[in-house]
Amino acid sequence: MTTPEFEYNKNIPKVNDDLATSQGGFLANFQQLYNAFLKNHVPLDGGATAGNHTVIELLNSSSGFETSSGELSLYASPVDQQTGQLFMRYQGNSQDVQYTNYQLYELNQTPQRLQFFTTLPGKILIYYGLVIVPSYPYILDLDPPIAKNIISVNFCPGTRPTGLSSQVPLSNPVTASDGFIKQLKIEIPFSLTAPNEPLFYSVMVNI
Amino acid sequence: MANNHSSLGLATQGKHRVLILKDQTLAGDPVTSATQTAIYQKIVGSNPSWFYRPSSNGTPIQMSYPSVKTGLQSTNPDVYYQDQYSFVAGPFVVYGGKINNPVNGQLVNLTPNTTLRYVGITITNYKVSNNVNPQALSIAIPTNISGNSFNISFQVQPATVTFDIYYFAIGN
Repeated sequence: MTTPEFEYNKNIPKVNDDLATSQGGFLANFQQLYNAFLKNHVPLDGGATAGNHTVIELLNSSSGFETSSGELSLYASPVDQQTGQLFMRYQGNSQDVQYTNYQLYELNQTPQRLQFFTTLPGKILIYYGLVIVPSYPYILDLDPPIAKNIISVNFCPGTRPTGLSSQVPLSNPVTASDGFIKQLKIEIPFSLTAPNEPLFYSVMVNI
Repeated sequence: MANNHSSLGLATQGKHRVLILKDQTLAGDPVTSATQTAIYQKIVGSNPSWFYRPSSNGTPIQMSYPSVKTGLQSTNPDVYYQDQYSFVAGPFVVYGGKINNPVNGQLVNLTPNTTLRYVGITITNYKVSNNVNPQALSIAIPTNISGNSFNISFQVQPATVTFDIYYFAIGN
């Protein structure tokens, strides 16, 4: 024998019901309220912390949520070629901002290449790391290869530059046939003589 | 229960559709025990801001900034903002952008107005019209970093040389 599944009935009690008639419905409704509140929350009989959140599971929404003055809203929404992501809408129904981007995972590391990436609100991704550059020009791969626009590039030598004067690497984006910028071509080194020069880098892009 | 939550009777009942956060400035930062953390909202200036408080009443961290400027300024064809900014928790504002054909000593004012804590610049699009060796270019650096501004400083190049610079900056 299985326990019957009750659903919340907003029409309990009916106008002409007496208490005895409605009691079963009341009990079922209270149980449903308890069960629903139990999701994501400390249960109603959970003592001093009843009502606190245990987790916040956000269901994907196809659109944002209204905010009044003095309010912020956080919600999840699906994004093309990404998983569902966290969005934030500013007060007064103003700008929606994609707060999280893409999905973070660990990239392959070698002694010649330490590479990482992270994201910023507003669909920005930052590649950063350290490369040992055997010679110039050098092709710096951007992984994951999803950059649509280079916002900024920054380099710093990992050792004291040698030569008559320290030079600045000149970088140029290499756009693949599918339109994504997957590489940077670093034209010249910091040093005039610089085999195996370590180079710290950060590359800020739109995705 | 319908506010912020999936409706009763659905398979997802009780889960959240959205978190609409009301101002908790008057209530103060929520108390967190050794096994709790908290997400809430306070007004900073006149802007609702999202906060995270670590366990054991740790120092609250502001997770949002009142604005961002990223992405496209126009479409068809796609044209991205040349100066963009976003933020990280703190909050710190992270600026990135490109300045075309700068002059030595050029003043750069970044908006929104913060106190810059880091500025880096890198040369790009170096072009020489008479095939002079591009390695003649000396380093370009940010100088006079103060408030929300800095100067672009470099060894003056021959008239045949043009280049742009990328900047990357962090302020709070």
